[in-house]
This record gives sequence, structure tokens and C-alpha cells, in this order.
Amino acid sequence: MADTASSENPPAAPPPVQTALAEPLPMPQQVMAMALAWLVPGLGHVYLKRAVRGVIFFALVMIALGIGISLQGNLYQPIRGQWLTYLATFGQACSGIPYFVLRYGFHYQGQQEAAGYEYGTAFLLTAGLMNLLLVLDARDIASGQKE
Amino acid sequence: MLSHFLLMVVYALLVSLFFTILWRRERRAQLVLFLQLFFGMVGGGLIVAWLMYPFPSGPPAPIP
Repeated sequence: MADTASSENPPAAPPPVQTALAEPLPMPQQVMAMALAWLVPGLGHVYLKRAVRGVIFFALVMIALGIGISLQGNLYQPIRGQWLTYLATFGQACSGIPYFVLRYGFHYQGQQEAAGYEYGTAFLLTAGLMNLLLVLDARDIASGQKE
Repeated sequence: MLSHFLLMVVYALLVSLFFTILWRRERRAQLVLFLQLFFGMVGGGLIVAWLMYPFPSGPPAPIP
């Protein structure tokens, strides 16, 4: 006996995948979110209405910077012929305004003779790289790729 | 503040908290990831330290 029911009532198509992601913001707002996230750690998330996350990220990056400064870690600047200093400067400058305030406002450089110099440098670099990840995270949220 | 171990723990705490909040939303998943990252970094640091212990980089420091 032929099964005629399947030809009359084909199986329903599976429902579309539900995602909780928001619509991507216009490009100017995406750029604004990334710029704010770079200038002040966490501000990009506050701009994208993730205020609690933004405040926590601000606190974490500032604590890392504060420990790095208290240990007299190195605040890198490019040195001709030493290419790794360019990379390290980029990493630390990713912390945004705090980097430039330290460098040009307080003329902070760190002390190579300090006992915590290497540790402090690691904390300062980590603060900058954490903020770089925050910039990319703000971009993902603004473009609707992440909650 | 200049204890090597304390600085390592503080560093691991900061980085673990950062990635936990960056990568996870649910409370339980956050706790699991935080514990994995924190104890992974601190435990990994201790293991590497003990592995390097038989191979000092120079003569022992003079005892004051």
C-alpha cells in the first residue's frame, strides 16, 4: 500500500534559528564605539548600553595600570633600530588616554633599577592589550556579532 | 607587594576576571571559566617554577 499522506502533507520546514543578537548599528556608531573604547577603557561598552560591564572593565584595566605604575614598570616608546619597542609601544598605547596622560602629562617612564620593574612592565603591557581586546569586543557588539 | 608569588596571584586574578567577563554571560559558566583560568595560571606557574628549579641561571646569590 502506497503512502500518499507524505506526498499530500510534506514535512514542515524547520523553524529559523533564533538568535539573541541585535541588529548591527550604522557604521558611524560602530566607529564611535571603537574610538570611545580605545580612549577610555570600558567607555565603548557604556556607549553600547553595557554599563555594568564597562565599569568593571574600566576598573580592571585601571587596577592593572596602577599596579604597573606602583612597581615602576617601563612605559615604552619607540627606539630607532629596536623593532620590538615599536610593538611594545603599540601594545601599551592601546590603553588610550591613560597612556598619553602618563607619558606627556606626568612624564612617567619607569625606573629600570626598581625591584618590580619587570613585573610592572608586564602589568602595563597587559593593561594595554586588555583594552585592545575591549576595542575589538565593542566592535563585535556594535556590528551585531556578539551579545 | 614585591613578593613574586603574590604578584603572580594578583596578575592571574586580574586576567582571569577580565576574560571571564569578556567571554561568558551566565553566572555558572563564568565561575567555571574563572576557576579554570585562575588555577591554570597559578598552578602552571608553580609547575614551571619547579621544573626550572634544577637548572639555575647563574651562581647562587650571596647570603647577606
